Amino acid sequence: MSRQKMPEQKNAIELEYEFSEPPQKVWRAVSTPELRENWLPKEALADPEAISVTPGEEVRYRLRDDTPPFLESIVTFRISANAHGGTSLRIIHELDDVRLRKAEKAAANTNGFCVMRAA
Amino acid sequence: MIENEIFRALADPTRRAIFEKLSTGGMNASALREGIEISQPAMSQHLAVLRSAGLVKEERQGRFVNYEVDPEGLALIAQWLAKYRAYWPARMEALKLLLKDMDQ
Repeated sequence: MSRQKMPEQKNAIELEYEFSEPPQKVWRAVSTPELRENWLPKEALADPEAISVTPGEEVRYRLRDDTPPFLESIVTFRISANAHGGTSLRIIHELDDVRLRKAEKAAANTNGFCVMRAA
Repeated sequence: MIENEIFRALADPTRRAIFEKLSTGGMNASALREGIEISQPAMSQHLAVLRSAGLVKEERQGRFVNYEVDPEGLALIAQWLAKYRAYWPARMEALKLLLKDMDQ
C-alpha cells in the first residue's frame, strides 16, 4: 500500500492509496456496512446510509466529527483498477457544514453586485 | 500555533458549552449565560479565550455586544484539516488489515 498526496483545495483533503487486492474486493470492503464497520466505524458517520452509490466505482458518506463543534463533511471513495491488477482508492473528503456554508454565503453577498466578464 | 490554542480553548468543558451554544446562532453575553452557571466576569474571560483562538468573533450592536462563531471559520477549518490528514492514514491501515482477513 502506498500513499500519494494530491494537490489540495481549501476545505478538502484528497488522498490516493494503492492496494494489491482487486477492485471487486476493495469495493466490498468499502461499501458493505458490516465490512466497512471494521475500518470506518459508524460513530464517524453522520448517517450510516451512503449518500450515493455507483456500484463498483464510487460511494459517498456524510461524516460528523466526534469533537466540538462536530463539523459535518462528505467523503467520497472512488475505486479503480490500477496497472498491477490491484486497486487505486481515492479519498476526497470535503467539509460540508451548514454553519460554514452560511458564512460562505454571507461573505459572497457582502460584495454587493458582481460584474461578470468574458474570459 | 493556532491549533494548540484551539485545543486549549475547547479542552475546558465550560468553554466547550459556550462554543456549542454559539454554534446554534449568535447572541449576547447575557443570553449566553442563561442555563450556564457562571458569573459575568468568568463569562467574559471564557469569551476572550475563544476569541483569541479565532473561534468566536464579537460584534457591537448598539448597547450590546453580540458573539458568534467566527464566520470565516478559518481556525476551525485548519483544525479540521489537521485532524483528518492524520485520520485517513490510520483508517487505511485498518482497511488494509481487513482486506488481508477477507475471503476472495
